[in-house]
Amino acid sequence: MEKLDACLLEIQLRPLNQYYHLTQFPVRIGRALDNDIILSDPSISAYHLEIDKTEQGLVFRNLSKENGTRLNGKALQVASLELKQPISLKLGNRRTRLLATSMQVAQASVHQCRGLLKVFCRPWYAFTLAVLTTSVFLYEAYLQSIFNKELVYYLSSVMPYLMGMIALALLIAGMSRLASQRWEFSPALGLAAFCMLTPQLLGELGRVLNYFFTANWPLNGLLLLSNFLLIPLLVYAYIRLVHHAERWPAVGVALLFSAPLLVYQAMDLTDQWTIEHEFTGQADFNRNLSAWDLRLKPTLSIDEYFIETEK
Amino acid sequence: MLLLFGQSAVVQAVDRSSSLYAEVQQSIYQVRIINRKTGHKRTIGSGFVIERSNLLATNYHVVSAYTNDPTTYSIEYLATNGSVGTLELLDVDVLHDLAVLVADKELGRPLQTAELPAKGATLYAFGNPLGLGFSVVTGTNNGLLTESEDKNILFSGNLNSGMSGGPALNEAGAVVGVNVATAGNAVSFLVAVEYLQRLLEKIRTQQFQPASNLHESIVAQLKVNSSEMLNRLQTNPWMLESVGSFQVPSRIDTSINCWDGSETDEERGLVTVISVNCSNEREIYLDEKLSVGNMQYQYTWYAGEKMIAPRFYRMYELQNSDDTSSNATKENVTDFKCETNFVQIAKQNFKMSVCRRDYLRYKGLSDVLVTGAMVSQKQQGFLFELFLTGVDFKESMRLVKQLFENFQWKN
Repeated sequence: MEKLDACLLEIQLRPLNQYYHLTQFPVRIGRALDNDIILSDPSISAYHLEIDKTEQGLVFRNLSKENGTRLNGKALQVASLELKQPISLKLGNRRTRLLATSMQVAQASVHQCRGLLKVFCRPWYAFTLAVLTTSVFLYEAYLQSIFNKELVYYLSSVMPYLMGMIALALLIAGMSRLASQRWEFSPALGLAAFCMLTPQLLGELGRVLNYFFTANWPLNGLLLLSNFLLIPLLVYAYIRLVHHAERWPAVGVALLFSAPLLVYQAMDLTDQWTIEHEFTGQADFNRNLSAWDLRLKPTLSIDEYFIETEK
Repeated sequence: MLLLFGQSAVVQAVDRSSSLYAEVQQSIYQVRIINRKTGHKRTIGSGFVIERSNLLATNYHVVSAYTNDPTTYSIEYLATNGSVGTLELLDVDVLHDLAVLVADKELGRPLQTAELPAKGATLYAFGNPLGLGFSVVTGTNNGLLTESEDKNILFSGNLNSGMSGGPALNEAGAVVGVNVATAGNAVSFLVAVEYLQRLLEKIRTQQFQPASNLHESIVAQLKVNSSEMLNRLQTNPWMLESVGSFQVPSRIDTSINCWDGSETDEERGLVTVISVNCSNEREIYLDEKLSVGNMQYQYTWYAGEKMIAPRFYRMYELQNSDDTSSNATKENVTDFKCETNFVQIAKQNFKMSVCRRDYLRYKGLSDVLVTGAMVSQKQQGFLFELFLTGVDFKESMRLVKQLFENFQWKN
């Protein structure tokens, strides 16, 4: 009785939950406007649940003939029990909890952005990464051309990438906004830039390593890793740092969002394996060339070379 | 006068071809490969009676389906009068695309052979083009292609498929060549009859019995030919030719033909591309999807002094892709096995790959692919590629080694 004023109904709404102090009993909850607590959820009946307080404790009475109520996961008609919080109550499809005001809340989520992850926390870093990514694409366009062109030609060839990067950033920021009710553009730009820059850099690194080892596995391995890990890792980092999600929920969301991509990559990989096992008639050897000529294999004389090939 | 003379010459030629046709039609047959499962013809060619009244000469490529799969196919003849019968294969010369068959009964009068008449002489090619009916094609002898490896006769007349294996006769009605191939537009080829005579000589020593192991004999012929070619190439005096800053052996045999493959500045922008492609342009027919005896090599020089090294190498790396085209299937050859190493040739370092794939049915023969890229210059590149089909790997390596030893760097 003395704890009546300490009772709290939590209506779970994203991004911020609603709380009602329960001070006067009985409390009737439903969609009708003459209820004590009005919940305008379409799955909730006009008069859905009544909570009363007796000597024995709280009495819960389901009034809904439609979607009903579940108390701590079980279908409810009438139940009377001691207040052991938190009590979970599901009214129709709406999750609520009955809490005591004395309940401890989790610590504030504070994330330390370190190293490359700063692009998710510091706008300046995100912007710098976006500029760097654009420059890399610009340099790539320059490397790939064999004609003398004006700078504007290279700029125009980079525009589609820039457009793609901004579009991706807006998409991420928009989705983020729906979930968090906040605009977080710069982390989204950082994520988009990361998404585009990493494969480019890994490709370059892979080619250098291919030449170094005179083999195709370094690039193939890096691409395989990046195809399967890059997006889930970036989404995970983003959810953790921007949305302050807990570790395991963040893993779940990261896997959920990258699932279509992962399935696509898996499909691609199985296709590749199938092709590799088929007869092609093509000679398969490492064809990379590098101006810096950094490699493990020594330079042989013609005689040594032919002794080697005879093997 | 001239006109009259010309007219009479044409009339004479027409007369001769019609009289020849009457003379030899009993000796000319259609040769057809029959699929035993359906009883229908799979491929058709022509043939003619030679040496004995029951022997028929034709092209190897006409009967190759049978030699490769005698359980599925059989060989039949069809006479000008419509009679048919079965044929048995006696022996073949795959190098010159010849085969000799024996019938179970007398076929007709054997044709005589004769030496090739003078260049410009009229020849009459007989056969059954596209299976439409026995025909005679009048054309001109343009002599032996002495520079090519197969030393065929260039015949200016319209041979068509189905005429393969038919005889090309001189004015007297004697065989001087066997129809074998066409390049279209009245550019056709005949096998010189002396190779048929050699094959018949061999068959005589076999007492006109089928060769004991035809497949082994074919493999042996291919090996001998490949060894002879590789040895000849190595003993020939080589001329060096400039390709960029390199001096390289170009036309190492008269059978090898080189073409310029350089690209214009318009196509190549800041890169100068100088390219030479050489080939012996030979295809020894083994089956629909397999031919051997080809040798091709290519030198390409890239210079990009106006580009920074990474930009030059980006282009250079893209060019380092072989475009060897071969119809060989997994039924015929293994996968390529490659070995890549770095080797110093003419003071420059090359990234050099040697690949081989071995023939499954023609044991001891391999396709050899050698590709190399110079990697010791920052703004200059040199690609070398050599592709040999149906050779002994070790022998081919000796040739490749000799090629490398003859490279020279001009600076």
